[in-house]
Amino acid sequence: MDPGSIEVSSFTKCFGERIAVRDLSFAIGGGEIIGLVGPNGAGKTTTLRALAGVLAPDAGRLCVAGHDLAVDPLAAKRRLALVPDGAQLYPSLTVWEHLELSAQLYDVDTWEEDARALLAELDLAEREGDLASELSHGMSQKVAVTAALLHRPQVLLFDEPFTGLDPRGIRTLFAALRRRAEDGAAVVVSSHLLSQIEGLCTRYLVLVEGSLRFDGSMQEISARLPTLRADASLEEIFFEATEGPDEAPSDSEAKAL
Amino acid sequence: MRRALWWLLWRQWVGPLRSLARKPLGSRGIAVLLMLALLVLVLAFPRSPDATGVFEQITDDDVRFWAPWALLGLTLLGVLAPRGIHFRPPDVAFLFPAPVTPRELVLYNVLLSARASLLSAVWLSLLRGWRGLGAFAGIVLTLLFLQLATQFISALRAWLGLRSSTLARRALWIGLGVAALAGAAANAFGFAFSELPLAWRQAPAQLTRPFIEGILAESWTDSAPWLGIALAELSLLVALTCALGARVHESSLSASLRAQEIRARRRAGGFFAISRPRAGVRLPRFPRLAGAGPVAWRQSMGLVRNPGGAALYLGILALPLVVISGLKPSFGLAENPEISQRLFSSTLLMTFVFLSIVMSGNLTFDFRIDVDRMPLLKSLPISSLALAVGQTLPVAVFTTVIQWIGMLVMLTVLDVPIRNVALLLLVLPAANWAAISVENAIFLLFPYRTVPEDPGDVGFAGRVLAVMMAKLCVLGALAAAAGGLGWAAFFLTDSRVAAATVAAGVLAGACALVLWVVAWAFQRFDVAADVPG
Repeated sequence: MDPGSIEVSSFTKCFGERIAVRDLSFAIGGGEIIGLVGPNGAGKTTTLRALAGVLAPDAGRLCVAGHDLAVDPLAAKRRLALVPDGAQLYPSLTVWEHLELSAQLYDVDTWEEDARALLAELDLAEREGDLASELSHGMSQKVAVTAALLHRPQVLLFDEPFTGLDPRGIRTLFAALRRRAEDGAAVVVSSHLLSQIEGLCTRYLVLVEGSLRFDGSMQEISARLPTLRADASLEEIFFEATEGPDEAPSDSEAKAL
Repeated sequence: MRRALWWLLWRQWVGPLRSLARKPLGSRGIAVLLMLALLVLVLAFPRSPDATGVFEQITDDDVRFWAPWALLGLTLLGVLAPRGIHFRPPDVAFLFPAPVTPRELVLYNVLLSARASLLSAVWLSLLRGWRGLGAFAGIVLTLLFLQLATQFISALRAWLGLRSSTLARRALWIGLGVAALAGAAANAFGFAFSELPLAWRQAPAQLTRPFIEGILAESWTDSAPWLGIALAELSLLVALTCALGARVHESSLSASLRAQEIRARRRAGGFFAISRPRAGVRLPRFPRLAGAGPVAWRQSMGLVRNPGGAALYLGILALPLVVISGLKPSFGLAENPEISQRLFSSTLLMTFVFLSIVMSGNLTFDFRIDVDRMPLLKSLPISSLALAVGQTLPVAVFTTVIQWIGMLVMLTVLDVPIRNVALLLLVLPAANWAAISVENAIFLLFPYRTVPEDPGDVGFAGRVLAVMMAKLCVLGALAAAAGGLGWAAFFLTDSRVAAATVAAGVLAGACALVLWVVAWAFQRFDVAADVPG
């Protein structure tokens, strides 16, 4: 199996009576940058958490880099990184110490050189000695991303990574993600900033009420929505796909895309 | 547990000290440190052997008998904690997706909570008088036991939630409730529990007894066996918590996210904003009064729409009333009006000290709740003084009304004529307003978050103690001035009314002065530099 890959089959997750994700199946290969989009409560965060081994599925199978999360979660987790929504750093650790922690957690032996390169790549080199409590939200977000990239994960999962970043920060992060994808990593980005990820992602998964409504590139999805222009923006596709039930294809159609 | 978690633990333990060392100590930091030093001095000051304070009257035998039961009761209160072990937000973000086993995570969390136990043990040791290292170790183990038991019960509840149906869980709770009621009814109808064999009666408290005996032992050699048993109990509890916590790892995520949500709500809405505010109640609009009216109306709406605060305050007030009602027949209070009146006055003073000084840090519907809205407040076309009045008055009125209700109930219980204590009741509003204003003035001059980052937030605990000390100093000075001048008036005129009038006047003047200080402190509050992180 492709080392930078994700395979999800019939994934279902319930919270009490509520079904958060229903019978979700998709596969992502190394080098792809996937946009996970959908309205609030569509199941995006639940899917990302399950892919990171934080939530266990009620049904279905999730594999990361060839490792089934239910069978060998630690092997799968060594190959992935999750950057959750809202950077949450340890206030009493410095930027550098967050990288040190990450290196220790993921058993990375020679990490200092990579860490310096990453800090430079994300414009954090000047701040490596600062405590997390002294950083702005955008800076904290970049530290969380840097810590996630240090162990060279094959699968990268980002939940709303652009919140709080300035335009330069967003551009820097875009470049970093593209570089990881070029190196063969599978990247999944969940975001409400549709205009931002339009220029980044190569493929989109559109979730509505826990089900996969569309899976494909922008052109492929808009081709399935006859009322849209061929050059429709991601935002137009999003509204048509999530609020136009008449045009929505069945699950089998979605998978066929 | 892997090396990374030990490393992280160490960093968390020394982190607050390191943060302190990195920041240059400004005038505010020095003031806080001085207040803390004063508090330590007061607590650690050697007590006279014939002292007659509340603590000195409690003998070791009393503690030996009651404390294991009290500790057991506190332990069982763990059922009120959320279901699932709670982790802090950075732990959820960094450690949950990392290649770390759930068992390691639970152990890490347990060890992290030991920090809070150690620090609390230092304060408690000072408070009760230093009794040696054995007693200190006993206090540390006791506090650890409480924390661990809460985590274990949370994990157990989560595990039961997964393993049993809702119906079975309800049946269990109903069964426990019925058993408790049956016990109370049997007691009421004359069943003498005292006739049961002693071993039976003491059996439940045997679990917690080693911790208390460890604290009370006279020497290391006496305490060592008890501490050994306590340590064995703790080890068993850690093993059980880790095993159970690992099985309910997912519940920990929900518990942690819920705790984050509550923390965010408390940060914006005060300590009592545990549940979402209810929109049902609406107060009529207040007159403008130079802008103080709308400001007071907004804070009052916050008070009435967060009923948790009122419920807790009433609960605290109800406790002495229940105790006094219970004591009334035993001590013949009805036949002795002088004792009744003295009891009333001391309860009034106790509730004032507790509600208006000790607990006031929790009822923050004033400047403290608006710490993130300071730019908005500063942009309003309202003078600083009107703003200070509008911000501080609602909590003062609320606290006074609660105290009046409680005191009127107590007057009825004790058959004390209201005219004998009317002056005391009339002084309450000014005293409450002064107390709240002092609290706000200190807050605006030394801004701090009124909600801790996590249960082991050392800096927060220190700040709260320092603020309490400062508040007591200022209010003590105000009370001394009012009392002193009132006494002087009584000495000169031999009239109680004149004395009370002078005392109330001094208090009112002091209140106005403190409000002016609040307004000045608000004016100099710098939204760019003073909003705490």
